[in-house]
Amino acid sequence: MSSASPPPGGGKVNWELWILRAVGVGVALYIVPRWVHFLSFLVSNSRRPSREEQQLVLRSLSILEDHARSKEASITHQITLEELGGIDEQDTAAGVEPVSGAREMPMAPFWTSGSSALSSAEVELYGRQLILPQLGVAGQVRLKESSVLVVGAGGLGSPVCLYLAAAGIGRLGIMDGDAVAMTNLHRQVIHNAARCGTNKAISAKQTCQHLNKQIRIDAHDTPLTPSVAERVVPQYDVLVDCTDNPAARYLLNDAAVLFNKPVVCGSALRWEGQLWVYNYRSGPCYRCLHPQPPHRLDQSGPEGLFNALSPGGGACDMEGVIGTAPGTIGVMQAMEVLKVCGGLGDHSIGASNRMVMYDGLDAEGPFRSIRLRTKRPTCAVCGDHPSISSLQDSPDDYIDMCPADLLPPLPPSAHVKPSQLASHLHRHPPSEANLSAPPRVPPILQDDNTYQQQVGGGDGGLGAVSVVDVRPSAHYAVSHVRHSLNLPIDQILSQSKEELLARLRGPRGNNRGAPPSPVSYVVVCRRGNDSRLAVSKLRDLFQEEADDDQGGGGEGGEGREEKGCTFLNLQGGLEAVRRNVEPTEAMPLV
Amino acid sequence: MRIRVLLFAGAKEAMRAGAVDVEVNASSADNTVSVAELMDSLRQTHPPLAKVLPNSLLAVNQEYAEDDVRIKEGDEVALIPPISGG
Ligand SMILES: [Zn+2]
Repeated sequence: MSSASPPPGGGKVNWELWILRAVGVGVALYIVPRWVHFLSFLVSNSRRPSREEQQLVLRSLSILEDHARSKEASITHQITLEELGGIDEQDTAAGVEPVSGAREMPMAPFWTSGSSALSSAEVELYGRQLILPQLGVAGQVRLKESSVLVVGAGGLGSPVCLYLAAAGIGRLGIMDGDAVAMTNLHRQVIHNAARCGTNKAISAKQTCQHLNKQIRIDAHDTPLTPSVAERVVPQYDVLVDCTDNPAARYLLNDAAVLFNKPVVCGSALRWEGQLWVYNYRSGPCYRCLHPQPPHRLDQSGPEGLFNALSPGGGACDMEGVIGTAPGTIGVMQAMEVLKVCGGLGDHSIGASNRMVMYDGLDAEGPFRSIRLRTKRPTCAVCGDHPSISSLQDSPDDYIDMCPADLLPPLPPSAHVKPSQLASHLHRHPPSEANLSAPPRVPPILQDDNTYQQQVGGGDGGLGAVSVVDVRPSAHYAVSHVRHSLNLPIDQILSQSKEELLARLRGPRGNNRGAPPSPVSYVVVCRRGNDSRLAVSKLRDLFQEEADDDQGGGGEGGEGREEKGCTFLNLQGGLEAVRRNVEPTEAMPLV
Repeated sequence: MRIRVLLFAGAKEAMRAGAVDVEVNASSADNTVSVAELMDSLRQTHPPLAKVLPNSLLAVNQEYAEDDVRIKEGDEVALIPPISGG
């Protein structure tokens, strides 16, 4: 059968079939769209628009409205900038944009905000926390109306500033006099490597302003001193103690009591931290708990002084700290501030007068809390008869205990300049060869009562040098002067003359001992404070005669060389030597 | 009476231990010792603690204890020096 053959039925059209087809198509045309519509109705009603869809709509609305009012808005920006003074040139350079908090985002005409105190932008920014029934819009407004001064933008201050800025504390003050350094960054995460050398308060402000443009942030790029405290503390509602030394803690406490501000106090070292809220709701102050500032403790002798300098058992900057220890405490400090400022003071640990202690290495219970004492009636600042009624009354309590002024004086000839040591070590790099020579104990150490012949030197005033490093062994282990002897300061101060003698002679086998015929033991630490303490004790023990004979010897090398063996302090410590080394990265220091 | 003292911060560092046991002569009447007596014993039997004691808090059963508080067998005693770092 070919395709040209006529249709079945002998040329007669099958109308019934065509009518049936037409009706079918008609019915389908009628029914399918309705079904589709019905199904899509079912689908569209089976779920609510997603959060993203909602936000998209809201954002489109606000962008449209923004465009409509762009001229007005830009004028408002300038006024805001001038009025608030919240942005400086440095911020602009860093890309921080003007504060837009004062600009009311116009609402859609059919929409009304639950509170006129928060802008749409703020509602969007803080939405997830202000729907908490305990906080609510009212609590968020309280945060916005609060001012908080964070003293110290370091390991504790980093999370405190970040979370307070993010949570919408209306005015955040950040105080710090130090500059960002590479050794800070493992814990002070608000800063970054590019900001090394920048003041920490300014760096912290930049980071926080990037996080939240709605708030006012003031950087106080100064250390806390009595006069700074008198000027700045009254401007704020709540103080946050993120300092890193006892002197600043006593000063902040006294300022808090005198100006009647609560303090959220955190501290952290090694793997541990402590947190409490003081001078709050008639509770105790810092002095009620710790009446004796460290310098009031026994300071007799180098050991007493060392203890006074380092009540926790280590001198300034000597102890290790894991970044997450201050991180953990700082986050909890921010939590306490939010409760105190947000109207949830009943839930603060200050209300129950408790101290929280954290030990990151405690597997059984890393968190503990103890109930603290009440106010101490004899407290020097908040007691019944306070002896401190102004920040000028107790100036000694506010001096950071680290400065070298407190250390015992050494004769000028007992110091080595960093440049002197650096050039000496450059010219005579310590080597194994030096140490493999026959061991010869320096005369003064062989018998401390009789001198033997002095040993020659005469090289740039230093002669043969043995470096004694008094930093903790963990610091020494990271990096040190080649073949130097590690004799940590706490051992020097606690060990007997015989023990020290044995250590200075050293076990010859492990070549950590004294090199042959040293004329000078150059005692080094990081900053020159502990080494100064060590030199005082070592000279007391081994060098009395040398000092007696030194009368007309004058300063410098000549006088020392006659004595055979002396102990010299490296002024300014290894940090100062490092400044004589290029590039400084070649001499990492912890 | 033997008292176990839990150590924190500088006290733990000074003793290189999380706790020390101290033998203190208990008063015969009620078999207790005062906080002051315990502090004295600690000072004598554990010299490295001497430097942290003057500024430390002593907590008995998680509560700050004044010098005259009496400690009895089984109490949890904690020696807590302040931490200054930040
Ligand atoms: Zn007080």
